[in-house]
Amino acid sequence: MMQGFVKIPRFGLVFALALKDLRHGWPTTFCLSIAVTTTLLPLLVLFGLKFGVVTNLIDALRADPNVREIRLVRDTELSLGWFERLGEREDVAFLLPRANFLASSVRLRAIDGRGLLETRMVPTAAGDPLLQGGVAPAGTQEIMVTTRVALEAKAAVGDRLELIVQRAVFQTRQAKKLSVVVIGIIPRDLLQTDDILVSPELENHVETWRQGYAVPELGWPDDAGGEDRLRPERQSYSSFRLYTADVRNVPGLRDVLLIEGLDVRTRAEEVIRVLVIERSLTLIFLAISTLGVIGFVLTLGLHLAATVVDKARELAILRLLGLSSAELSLLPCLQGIAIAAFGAGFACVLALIGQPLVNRVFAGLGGMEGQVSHLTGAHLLWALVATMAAGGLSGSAAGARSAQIEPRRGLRYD
Amino acid sequence: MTEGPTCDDIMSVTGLTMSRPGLGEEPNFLLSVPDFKVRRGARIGLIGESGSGKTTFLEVLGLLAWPDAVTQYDFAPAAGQGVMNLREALQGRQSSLLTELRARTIGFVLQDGGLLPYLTVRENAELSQRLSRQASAPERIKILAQTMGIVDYLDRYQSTLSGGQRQRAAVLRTLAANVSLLLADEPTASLDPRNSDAVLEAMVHSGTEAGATMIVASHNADLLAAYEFELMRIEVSEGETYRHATLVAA
Repeated sequence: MMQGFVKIPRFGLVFALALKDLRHGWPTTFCLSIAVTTTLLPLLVLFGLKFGVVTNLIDALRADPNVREIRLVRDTELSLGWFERLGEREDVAFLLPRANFLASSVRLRAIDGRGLLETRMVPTAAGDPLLQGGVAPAGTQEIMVTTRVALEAKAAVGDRLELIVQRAVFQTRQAKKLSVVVIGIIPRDLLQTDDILVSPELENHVETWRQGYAVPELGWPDDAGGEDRLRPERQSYSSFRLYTADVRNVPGLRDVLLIEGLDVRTRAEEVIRVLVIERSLTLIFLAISTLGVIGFVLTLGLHLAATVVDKARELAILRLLGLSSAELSLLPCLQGIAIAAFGAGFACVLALIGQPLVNRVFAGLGGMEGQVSHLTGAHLLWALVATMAAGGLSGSAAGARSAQIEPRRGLRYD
Repeated sequence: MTEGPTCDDIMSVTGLTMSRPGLGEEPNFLLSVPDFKVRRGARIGLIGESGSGKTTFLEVLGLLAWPDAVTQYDFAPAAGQGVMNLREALQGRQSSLLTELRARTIGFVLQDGGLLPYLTVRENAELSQRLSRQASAPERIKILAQTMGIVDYLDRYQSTLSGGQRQRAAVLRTLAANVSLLLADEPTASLDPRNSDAVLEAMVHSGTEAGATMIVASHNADLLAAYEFELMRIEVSEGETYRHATLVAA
């Protein structure tokens, strides 16, 4: 008969008792909940401002895809394996092999022969941040130009231009012309040079021909005449185009490449400056919130512990009726959680309601655009859960004390 | 030699001693129970002067305290379902096991009622049912409340009840759990004679209907006798260093 006894804590029952006790002593419960609210609300406002300011700064960096770019300063030899390894990293969003610097220069001329622009090919492909979601040039007859090139060549989307490639063979110059179509025009500020975007295929063909090999796909012969000499299968590239997944990844990936001996140029310092601001604000927030949480846990914890002393006989009667010591120890913890939930819930509602007001008061702070205070649902949920956890923690000492209450004390009427 | 319990006995305790510490480490009180046997459904009245150890004895019977020594402690809460030897559990202080057993089979009526102030009378009774691992039986609560004349107070809190109503509500809470053994510690001590009589009558009437065995500690031997309680007295003798209390038939 005794073997069959079940001793699983009855959380639902204990929680219901905890809530009924809190409801019965509602003035105290209300005051404690308001104490939680007054502790949490300033922290939420502070966090909202911290997150809003940092988000503003980071968003400003994210608006410029070039901040995420890592450029190789000098050409080198990079194996296909190196590209494969780097491409697998989670902090890499876009990686494309690139021809050597000298091989990428071309001339561009309008079909009617007006104007001749010295420019440089930049390989691109789907996912290139510079395309901003647009379609990438494909094959050997599509290019994208900047607004300035388009103006100088008087070209619009759909117009044809002439791409001229030159090479020197035994002190004589050879040139090839290729008719290409403009499939898109991108802002010059985005590319920051007057280069043109082409497919990796076209860039590879130009580099191949420049190195003296034939390009049968374009009908371009090698430099020796006779039977065409084809380029052996590529084992390496001279450079790359690389963008990190996020601006936050730039300093870390830059350091990785520097350690590998690659001379790279980035705008990591701009990112680091913002990250330092973020870290400083986070430290300030943590210091203030730690003090707040300690105060909250101590206040609520001491109150709950004192309540256990006051209500020792009531608790003993619960033991007398059959509540186990483990279940009894849960009672103050659950009350701490419930009080924290009431107070935190109220603070979250107030923070949400007050956020537009805070944004109006701090509008334009430091030249920032958008919301200065930014609290999301996830932040509020996190605050609620963390406060409830702190509430549970504050009830743990009282819980340990109530676990020691003996049921026989319920029998004694003092 | 003491015989074991028959099918009619709910409890059989022999050779029990229980001490209480004084101000120092040495005990200043020793309770001896040479032989205590209770028939199922019986009404036992424990009488004795204040401080004689009535509550202490109820603590032992309610599996709330650990005796210093006990030769035999058999408990048969349900008729025909075997006898449990609790001697080892008590001496081994198997608290969780005894808590479960107590919740399922033993009920207490306290001197002040001991109702939980944040629950209504009905909720107090429902809690008692749940803690005794029984399915909720609201109909049983209602019938008991009707029998005890407090059906109109089921949804009231103890703070709005008179002393007599509280005690009847406390009896209701205990019997709602369908316990086999009801232990009451001076349940009428704080009541006037009229209310004392009413409470005891309600307890005896409802307890008998529920088939509960009742052990009631009280100073009022006459009142217990009036309700046909079998009286047992705890006699106290002053020793050199401590008081010695012994349970004897009155």
